[in-house]
Amino acid sequence: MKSLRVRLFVLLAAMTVLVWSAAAAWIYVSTRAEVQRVLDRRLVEAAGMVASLATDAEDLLVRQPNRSRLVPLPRYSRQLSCQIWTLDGRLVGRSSGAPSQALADGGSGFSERVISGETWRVYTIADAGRQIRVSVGDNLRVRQHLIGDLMLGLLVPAIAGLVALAVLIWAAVGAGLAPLREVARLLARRDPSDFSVLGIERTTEEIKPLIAAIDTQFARLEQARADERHFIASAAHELQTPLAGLRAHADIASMTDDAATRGRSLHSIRKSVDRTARLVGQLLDLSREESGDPLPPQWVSVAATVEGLADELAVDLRRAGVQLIATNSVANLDIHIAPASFVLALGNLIKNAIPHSPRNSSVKISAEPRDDCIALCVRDQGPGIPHEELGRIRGRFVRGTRERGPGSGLGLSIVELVLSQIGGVLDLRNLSRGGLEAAILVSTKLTRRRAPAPDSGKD
Amino acid sequence: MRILVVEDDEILFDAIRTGLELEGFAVDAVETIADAREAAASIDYDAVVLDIGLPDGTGLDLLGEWRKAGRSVPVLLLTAHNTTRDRIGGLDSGADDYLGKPFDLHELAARVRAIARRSKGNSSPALSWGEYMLDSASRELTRDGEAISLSRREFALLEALFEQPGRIFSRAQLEERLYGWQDDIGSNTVEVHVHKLRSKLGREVIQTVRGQGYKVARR
Repeated sequence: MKSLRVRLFVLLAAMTVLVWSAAAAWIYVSTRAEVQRVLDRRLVEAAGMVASLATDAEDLLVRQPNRSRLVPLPRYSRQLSCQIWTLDGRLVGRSSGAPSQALADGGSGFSERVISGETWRVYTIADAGRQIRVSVGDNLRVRQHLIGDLMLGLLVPAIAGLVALAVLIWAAVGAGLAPLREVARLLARRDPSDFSVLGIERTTEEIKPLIAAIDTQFARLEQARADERHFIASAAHELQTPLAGLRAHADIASMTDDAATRGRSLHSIRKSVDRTARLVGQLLDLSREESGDPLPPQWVSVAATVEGLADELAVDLRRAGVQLIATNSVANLDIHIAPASFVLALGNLIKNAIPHSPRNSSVKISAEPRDDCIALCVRDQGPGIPHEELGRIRGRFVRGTRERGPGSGLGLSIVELVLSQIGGVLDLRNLSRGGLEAAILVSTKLTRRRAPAPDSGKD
Repeated sequence: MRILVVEDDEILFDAIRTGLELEGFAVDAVETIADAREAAASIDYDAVVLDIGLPDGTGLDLLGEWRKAGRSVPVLLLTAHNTTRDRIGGLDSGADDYLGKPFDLHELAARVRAIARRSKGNSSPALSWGEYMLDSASRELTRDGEAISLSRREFALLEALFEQPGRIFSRAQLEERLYGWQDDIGSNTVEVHVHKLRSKLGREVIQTVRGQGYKVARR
């Protein structure tokens, strides 16, 4: 049923009709029984009265041998018919309207008989002393009429009452649903981009949770949308700078006649394109990780992942003169994580470390227990991050003041996002002997040690 | 014309410096607000190109600081935040012009020339001195409509003198205006340029004020 109002109305009306019908049935049955009882009682009294007035059979026959109609019987209501018979079967008297056939035969008591299509309820007194039998009967059709009239008297106001109730129920349901209608009206009138709270303060207890839920949802949507807008705006701004560099170097290349200057500009254009591509790639990584549809985790070998990354970054490592070393501590270590996410996280930390590393230095990957976690550390021998920047360096599009690489300021955000999916944490600290340590902290439960293979470890 | 560029992006930083030098500016380029503050404290720049998003704060903070201290050096804001609201905010905080990234280098140069010129009270891009006409946009010097070819530095030197006729420029002031930090300055470079200019224009244009420097006569 589409309308809540119609639904409630039908339910309430059906229940009312049901209750009223049951009541009417009950009243009918009990009224009928009571009417039967009262009328039977009357039959008994009337029969007794007639019997007490009658003389014996001989006398009655002598005084009125053939004119039974003239027997002075008390004139009761026309509903009643009375007959006086001698016990040997001669009718000696009857009331007007009484049938001429015997209402009953046999002894005293109640009986019923059908005479010319009419059913009679009869009470009979047989008096052996006076040789007479007095029968007083009620026409059942008349009794039925009486009960019918009584019931009609009850039903007519009841039906009128039902109609009145229906109108009242309809109106009451409408009034009761007014707060809901108000909410619906407000929601319907809203701008689709309006995520402010509904602003309904006075309402019923039942609707409050609904409004609170809607308001909470709106607030969440608003926040999500603001975050998204901020992110898109930041991403767009981040792209503007390398694009501006591209554009400016292209201008220079076309402006200058000097081959060296043009060569430098072309080199910068290449660098700028690489950087823009890296930024776009990272944005794609971020959106993939953020899609809320995480890849299934499995046991991933840390050593194999580092080896794969060393291959992937071989050119960068060689150009920077940096060696990537996985220490013995990670040789037989596995982490339960989605492989692609792990490559993304560890890869970003290594890519961050490379441009900050001095020539002929190394970036070391090691694992060590820390509290109830395993810390997977990426340590470089670079300058570290100024203390005051450690707090905000993880923010999106935040680049350190010492940063000189092709960074976009997204790398650490990506690492944190990946780690948040397995309940991991990124810990950054400057090492006392110089260099930065970026540690991935994951619960010990998500790590395992395999039996060491004979050729494991390089360091 | 000597200008300061404050931009933290390595590639763009390099492009602006190279491009503006090709346009005839002497360019000093720094990457942080701290360096910019220091540079501007020691040198009187003709204009500043200031990026808004910098590693150690926003360019707007530095601009506010300068304006509060009463420094009127013309500033062009350079930024990726290029909405109308951003532009209004930038101009209202004391910037003379605003340019969104990415931009055309020629446009950047033209805008820098324009704000520098206006700050000296000239609204026309051409400086005239007698029969001479110096067009800083096309970087041409003409005498009675006849073009005279000048080198980048010669042009810049003459431009400085023509901008404020009657003012005496010391050798140091002219050097400051002609060269950025990274340029090698020979001990008598200004004299060499003056000598060459005199041989092209005649001796009467640039006057030597003994012991003080050079000037062109007020007209």
